[in-house]
Amino acid sequence: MEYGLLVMGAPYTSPAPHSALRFAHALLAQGHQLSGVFFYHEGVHNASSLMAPPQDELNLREAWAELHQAHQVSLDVCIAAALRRGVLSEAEAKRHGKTSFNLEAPFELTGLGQLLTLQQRCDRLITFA
Amino acid sequence: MLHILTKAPDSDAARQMQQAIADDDAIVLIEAGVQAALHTQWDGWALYESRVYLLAEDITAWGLDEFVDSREFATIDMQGFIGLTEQHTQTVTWY
Amino acid sequence: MEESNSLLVIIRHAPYSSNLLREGLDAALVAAAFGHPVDLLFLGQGVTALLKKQGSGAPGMKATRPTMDMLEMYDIEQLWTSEETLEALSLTRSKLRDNVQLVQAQKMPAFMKNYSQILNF
Repeated sequence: MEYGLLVMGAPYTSPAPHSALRFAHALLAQGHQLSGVFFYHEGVHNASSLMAPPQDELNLREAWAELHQAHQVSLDVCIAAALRRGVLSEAEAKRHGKTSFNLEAPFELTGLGQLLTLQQRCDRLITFA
Repeated sequence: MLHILTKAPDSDAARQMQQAIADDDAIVLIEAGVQAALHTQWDGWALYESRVYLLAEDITAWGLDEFVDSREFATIDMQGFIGLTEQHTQTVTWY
Repeated sequence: MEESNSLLVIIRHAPYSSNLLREGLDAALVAAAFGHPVDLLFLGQGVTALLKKQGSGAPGMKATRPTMDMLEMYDIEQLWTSEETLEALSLTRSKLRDNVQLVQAQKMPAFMKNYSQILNF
C-alpha cells in the first residue's frame, strides 16, 4: 500500500514526530511505500537545520533527512505555517529580508495543496499530532 | 474506521473520539493514550471490548506492562498498528 | 456527500487558544479551492468559533471571524456540530451562525463514514 504521513507535532515538545518516524520505518520494513511526509502546524519545526539537541537525543531533522535518503520519501513543509514560525529556506529568507535561514533540502516548502495531492495519491494518510 | 488516540482517556480528545466510534471501528491507544491501562473504570474498555489496542512499545516505555498483563488488555506492536491501518480505509487521529 | 474526494475537516479547538483553528480552516479553504467538496464539523471547544456575536478582532491576535465569513465564498456551506457538543457548553443553536446544522449523537459515527477523508484539528 502507498502511505502518506501528516506530522503536526513539534520536535522535543510532542511525541508525535517520534511516533511518526517509528511508524514510517516499520511500514517500509513491511514492504509498503511511503510517498511523502507533510509537516503542518507545529510540525514545521521538524525541518529546522538549526536544531541542536544534546548528543544523547535523536536529532529529528537528521532522522527525517536519512529517511529521505534511504527511501526517497518527500519531505514537504507547509510554507504558510513555516514562515509564520520562523522556518525559512534561503530563498524565503532573502524575500523577507532575513539574514539567516534554517530550511534546506531534502525538506521543501510547499503549499497546503501538496497535502491534498498526497492524500489523493496515497491509499492511506495517517496523522501524527 | 480506525481511531488513533494520543491523549489520556479523561481528555477532551478521548471524549470527542467516543462520540464518533461506530460498531465496526477499532481504536489504537498510543503516546499518552496508553494511560488507559491505569484507568480501569474507563467506559471505553466495556464499550469497545475487543476493539481497543494499546501500542506495546509505548506501554513498555511508560512502565505499564504489569498493569496491561494483569488486566489482559490487548496490545499490538508497530506491525500490528500498521495492519490495522491496512484494514480500515479511514483513519482519524484524536490528539 | 459520497464523492471519492469529499473531505471532512473537524475543528476541536477554540479560536484564541491555539493556532489549530486557523490552520484547520486554512486546510478547508485550500481543499475547497482545489474543488474538493468540504464540510466542517465543530466539536468540543471548537464550537465557540461558531458563536454569532464573536468579535472581529482580538487582542494582538489575528481574528478568526473574517475567515469564518469567507467559508461561504468557497462553497463551504455545511457547518456541523453535535447536540452533545452544545449541551456540554450549555449552548443553544440560536447563539450560533445561521447555517449551522446538528448531527444527532447516535448518528455521528454514520455521519463520519460519509467522507472519504477526514482531517482533525
